[in-house]
Amino acid sequence: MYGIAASGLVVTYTTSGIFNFAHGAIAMLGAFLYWQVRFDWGWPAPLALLAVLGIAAPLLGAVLHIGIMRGLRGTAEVTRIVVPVSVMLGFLALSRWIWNPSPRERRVLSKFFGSTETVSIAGVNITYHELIALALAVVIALSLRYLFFRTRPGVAMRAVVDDPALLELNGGRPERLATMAWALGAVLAALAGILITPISGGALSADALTLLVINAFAAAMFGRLRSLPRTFLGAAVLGLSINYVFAYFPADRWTWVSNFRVSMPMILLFAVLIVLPQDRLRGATVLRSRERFLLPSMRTAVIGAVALVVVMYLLREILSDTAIISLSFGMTLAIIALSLVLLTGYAGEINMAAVSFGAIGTILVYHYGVSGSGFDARTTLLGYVVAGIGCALVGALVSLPALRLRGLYLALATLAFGVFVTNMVLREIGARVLPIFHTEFSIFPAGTLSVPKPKFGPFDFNAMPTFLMFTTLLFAALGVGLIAFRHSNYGRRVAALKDSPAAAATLGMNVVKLKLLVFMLSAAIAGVGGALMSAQLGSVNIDRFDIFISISLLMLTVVGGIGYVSGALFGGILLGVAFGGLSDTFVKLGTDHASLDGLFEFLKDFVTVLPATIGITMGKNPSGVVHDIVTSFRAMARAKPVLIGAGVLELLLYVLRRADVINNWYLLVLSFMVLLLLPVVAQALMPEAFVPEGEERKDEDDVPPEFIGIDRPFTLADRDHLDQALGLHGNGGKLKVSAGQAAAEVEL
Amino acid sequence: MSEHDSLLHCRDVVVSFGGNRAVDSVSFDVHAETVTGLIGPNGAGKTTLFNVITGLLSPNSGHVFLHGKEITKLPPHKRAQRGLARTFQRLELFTSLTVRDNIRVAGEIRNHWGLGDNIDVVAETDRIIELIGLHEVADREVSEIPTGQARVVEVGRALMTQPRIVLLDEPASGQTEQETRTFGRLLRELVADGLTVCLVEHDMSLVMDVCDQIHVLDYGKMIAYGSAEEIRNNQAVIDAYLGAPAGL
Repeated sequence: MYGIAASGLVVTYTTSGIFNFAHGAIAMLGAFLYWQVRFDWGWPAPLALLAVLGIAAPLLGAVLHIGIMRGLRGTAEVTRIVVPVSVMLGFLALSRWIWNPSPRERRVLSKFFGSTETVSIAGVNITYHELIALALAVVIALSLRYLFFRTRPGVAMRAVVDDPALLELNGGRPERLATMAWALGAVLAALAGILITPISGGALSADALTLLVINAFAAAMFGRLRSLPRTFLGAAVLGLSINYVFAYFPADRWTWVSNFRVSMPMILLFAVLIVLPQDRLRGATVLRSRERFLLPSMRTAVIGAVALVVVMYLLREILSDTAIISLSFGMTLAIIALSLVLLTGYAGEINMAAVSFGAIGTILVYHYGVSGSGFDARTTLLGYVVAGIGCALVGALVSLPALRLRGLYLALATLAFGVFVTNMVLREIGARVLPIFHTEFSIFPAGTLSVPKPKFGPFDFNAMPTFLMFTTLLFAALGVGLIAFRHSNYGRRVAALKDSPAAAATLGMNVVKLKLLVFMLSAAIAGVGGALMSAQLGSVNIDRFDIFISISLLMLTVVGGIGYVSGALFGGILLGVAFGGLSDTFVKLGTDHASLDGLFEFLKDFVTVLPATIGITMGKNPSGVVHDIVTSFRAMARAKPVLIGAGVLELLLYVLRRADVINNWYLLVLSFMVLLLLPVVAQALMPEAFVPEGEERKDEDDVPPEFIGIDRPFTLADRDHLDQALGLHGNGGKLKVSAGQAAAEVEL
Repeated sequence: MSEHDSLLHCRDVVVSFGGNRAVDSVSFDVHAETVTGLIGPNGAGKTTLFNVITGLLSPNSGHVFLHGKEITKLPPHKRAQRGLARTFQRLELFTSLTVRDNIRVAGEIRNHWGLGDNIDVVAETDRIIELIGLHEVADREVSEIPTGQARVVEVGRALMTQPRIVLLDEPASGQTEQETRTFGRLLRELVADGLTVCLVEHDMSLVMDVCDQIHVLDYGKMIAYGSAEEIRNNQAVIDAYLGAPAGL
């Protein structure tokens, strides 16, 4: 079963170079769809199978590739990971929308031919369903092997990965082949979903099936995401070890066994990661990646930080209590997102479980950082320091095996870590006697931790508005710190590491050491941010640290602009405030206007799908929203009077609000309009500010190069211009033919 | 030339990709304070050999020695710390940094080797930029400058680590004739100051101009070596590599 799922993963990865994080989600959709047609609508099984596996799944795979994945060629690894992750979140939200997650009756997929019909082989009773699954796995393994090595499309599919351009020259059609591969991958995923569900209990669960991808990639990792035979071997090892744990570990004596069993794939994955030999150091994966981040100067950074604090202070004065609460929640998430800016934006590595580090931070603060009791309980500075250091150490442990390998492996390792934290650490709710110390200790007592607000020395941040200012100040300070870091020699070395690991290593850099340092720093920030998030919420349970929250935060930060500190602010606020706020608003509107309930119900559900939709568009704009804003406002920096005018207008609006002439909604809408109209007004009033300096000559000379000499005479200036464009600097117009080229010609 | 003044020494290096022997038991020496050329048609295994020497690729068999000490098993950064630097045929510049920062960061990496003999990074960066003649484009983004100049940035970056030996992988491709001549003069100056250079290059005028010794690779095998004059007249080289003396 794992074999089928994993082989689908390998098929799409080898043909498109994209690791399909949505693989489990496709399996999930397949299973749900099958349930819908087979059990809800009562179609006969063969017809239902044909509909799901023959039509829906390949269509889904093909549409995915044509609509989304195709646009990802030439983007950085981060984008190639985030977009499929967005698809995964989108499918998950979609399935919750269509199939209510808490149904009146459990949705059960029964086994083919029932669970009572068994055959006996060598003394073991096997259901027909299991037999079918086993046979299918073998058939699929053999036919995939045949497809890839013996048939023309299969060989061509393998060629796509190596060099799509060359294949195209040879008459292949890389895009069509990749579409076929995605369709095939989707069918394999859906099949796996339909087969696995009855065996693992029968009840459909969207989250569990989506995370199937982890089990699948643990298996695929045996074959280094390349080799199909080794993938099937890995799947067999995985399946067997899970069953052995189930059979031979006494669950009644060790309460952690059932959790351990769920975590088996993760543990196995780590084992494989440790065993895998070090990757060859590679140079830049893409010669000129489409992502471009501008680095703000220290002056801009400090101005931005002060502006943020001032705006937040002014907002605090006029906002309602609930708005302040959700805003401060957003700020704590933004601090966690900062850890991603450091790790992903600056160093090019990916952590998919930032919030899980937040969970570790929370646990540490809860155990070592609470003073006082009842209403006087506060978390201490020491607690947060312990949380930071602890998370850095855990981060080192998690990342070390994967850091020797490529970025994708680190992303997978952190994903596995996130699920491991949820499944094992946060389920440790009962007390245990520690073997050496003989004292009772429970990691996550009773499943809920109450974490009080911080109080550092004389500064008490218990009141929510004060807490908001504290988190804003901390974010601003950390943000300026990060930009300072990027300007320092450490920052330049990290940038060098991101741009070309091979060149960095040949200059004498210990690549693994620097990566480790950055990861530890990032984990520490995430840990402190997570602890603050728990303090903001007051009490937290396991759901607060779900892996999907980490992934959403990563996605929204990338959408905002992973290379920018403001991208973290964007991601945190959007996740903490905007989407939660929007869906709450629609629920309230729905109850207020009962007749329009259906519409608002739809809008509420639509909002849950929205973040993923935004994430998917990343393929088109990989640098992020903040980048667009920065570039458009850069030009405006020269139109100072207009900027000042807008500032005065904003201030006026704020004063009107304080005087209660207008309410918050007016302020929000009007401010938004000012921002939107600003570029337009600036362009109308001060057009001269928008002519970029280097391009004046364009105005006088807009004859396209191919018409020079026809429309007007060819001049020396034109020649120099062409030389420059072709990279032939100051050469007297004479082309040099190197002996190598000459030799190549002679050989022909 | 005797063994003892050989700064870099490769012995019986073999690299196979699948069934294809890209480098087939190649042995060669680079002597201190000389320019040694490594030439051969495309696919002869020159870059592969550089990858083996710098540690980006481990050979199937064979040994690499630097200063008479074996470095075959060392990771790339340890080799660099022993005075080995290189440039890349496929440019490997740090594209998010300016020209100046590309060179500067190499010095900063060097100062983190933990050797204790730290250099003044800012002053040394200025000196190198002046030396390689890129002061006019020093503050441009490295992705904006033409390929010919970008190759010189790679050379400057390598020099910033104060190496004993530099491996240059086609530094003149993409350069204009003028730039190549200037570059050749720069190489001779550097060697006169004590640097050792190993040069892979297709531009024969540069190779013949600056190289003290030339090794010729063809299909992974070393087919000839000698001075520029000897190589120019070597029949095996003319047959295998040039086909006819027209290229010279």
